[in-house]
Amino acid sequence: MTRYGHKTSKRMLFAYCMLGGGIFLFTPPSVTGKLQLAYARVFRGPLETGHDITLAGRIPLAANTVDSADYTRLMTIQRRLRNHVANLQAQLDEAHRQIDTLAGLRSVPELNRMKLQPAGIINDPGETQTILLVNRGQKDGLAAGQFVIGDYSVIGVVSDVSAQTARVKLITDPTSKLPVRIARIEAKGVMRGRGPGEAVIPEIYAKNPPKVGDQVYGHKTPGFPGVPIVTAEVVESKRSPDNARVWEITVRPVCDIANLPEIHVVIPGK
Amino acid sequence: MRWFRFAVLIVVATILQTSFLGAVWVVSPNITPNLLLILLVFFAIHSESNDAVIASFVIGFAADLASPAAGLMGPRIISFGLFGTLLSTLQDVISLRRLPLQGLAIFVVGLLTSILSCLLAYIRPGPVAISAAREFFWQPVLSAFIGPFLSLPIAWLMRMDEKSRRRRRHRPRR
Repeated sequence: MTRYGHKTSKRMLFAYCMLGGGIFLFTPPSVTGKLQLAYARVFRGPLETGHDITLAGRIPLAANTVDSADYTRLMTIQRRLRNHVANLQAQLDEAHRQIDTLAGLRSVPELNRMKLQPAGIINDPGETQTILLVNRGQKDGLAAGQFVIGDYSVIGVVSDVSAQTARVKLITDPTSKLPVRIARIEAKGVMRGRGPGEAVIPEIYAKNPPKVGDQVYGHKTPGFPGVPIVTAEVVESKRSPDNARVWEITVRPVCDIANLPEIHVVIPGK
Repeated sequence: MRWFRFAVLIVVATILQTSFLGAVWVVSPNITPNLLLILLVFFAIHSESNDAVIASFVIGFAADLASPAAGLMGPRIISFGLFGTLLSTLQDVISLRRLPLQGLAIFVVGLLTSILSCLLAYIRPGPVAISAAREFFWQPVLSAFIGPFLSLPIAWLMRMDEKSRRRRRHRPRR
C-alpha cells in the first residue's frame, strides 16, 4: 500500500521556528521568567549539587600558602565579622543619634522583628552574574521586593517568586535601585547596578570627599530593616564638573557573592 | 536522529552549563566553555538538514532557559537557530568534519551568536548586563579548543560516528 506522507521543507521549518523565537522574544518577562523558574524547580536537585561542587572547586583558588579548607573558612569568617562590625558600628552611631535627639526613647533592634529565611543558591552565581536562583519560594514566605542578606550585608532584592524557587536581583544588576547612605560623610543617594561586580551612586551631595573603602549602607525603604546594614564599599569617586560638592561614586559589594554558600531573605512582620 | 538521546543530552548539557561548569575553569573561574554551543555546531554538522534546523532551535531554547538574565528568552533561540541552520547549509557545500575546522566553526558561530543575542537583548526594554570579553572572546575560544574533542564521544553517544553509520548502511532491508 502506498503511504502518502507530507514532509515540511527546510525553509518552512526554519520560518516556523524563527516565528516561535520571535514570539518568545516579545513575550513579557513575567511569563518567560516563569518558564525559567520552572526549569530551576524541576532540576533543583542536580543544580544544587552542581553549585556545591562549583564552590568546592573554587576553594583552592583562594589558598596559596595555608591549608585551603582552613584558609577559606577563615576568610569567610573574617569577611562576615568585618561586615558585622560595620553593621554594629552603624547601629551604634544610629543609636547615639537617636539618644541625642529622642532622649529617653528606647531603640528596638528591628532585625529581631523580622524573620530571616535561609535559602540555598541553585545556579552558579560567578562574578559576572547579576541574578541568583534560590531554592525557597512562596511556600516559604518569600515575595517580590524582599531584601536579601549575604554575609551580614544586603546583596539584593527578590524579583520573581514561584512556589518553590525565587530569583534574586543583585545590587549590581543594571535594573537595581537602592537608597543608600555613606555613614562617614553623611551623604544619601540611590545606588544603581552597573553590571557584574559593580554599582554606582550618581550625583550624591557630600560636603566631605568620599574615600576608597567607605562603607555604604542600605537606607530606609519599605521592607528594609530599620537598622542600617552595610551593602557596598567605595572603590572610586569622581567630582562633578558642574558642582564641587556633587560626586559620582563607584562601589562594589562587600560580600563575595560568587562563593556564598547560602543567603537570608528578610521577611517582615515575624 | 535519535530524539530521545538528543533530549537527554541537551538536558544534561543545560544542567552542566548552569551549575557544574563553574568548577571547571582555565583562565578565570568565570570563563567556562559553552557546552550548548559545542552541541549546536556538532548537530549542525552531523545531522540531516531538517533535523539540524530543529536541533539548533531546541538548543537555543535550552540556552535561553538556563540564561541568568531575568525573564529574557528569545535571543538565543533566534541566534542559535539562525546560525545553526546556516552552518548546516554550509555543511552541504563544504565538509566541516575535520577537527580543526570544527574548532574554527565553533569559534565563529560562538562569536556570531553572542553578538546577535546581545543585539536582540537590547531590543527588549530594560538594561542588560553583559561581560563583553567573556561572551565575545573567551567563551568561544575555550569552546573551540574543547569542542572538537567532545565531538567524538557525542558522536558515539548519538550513534552518529562512522562505525554506526557503516553498520546502518550495511544492515539488510526487510
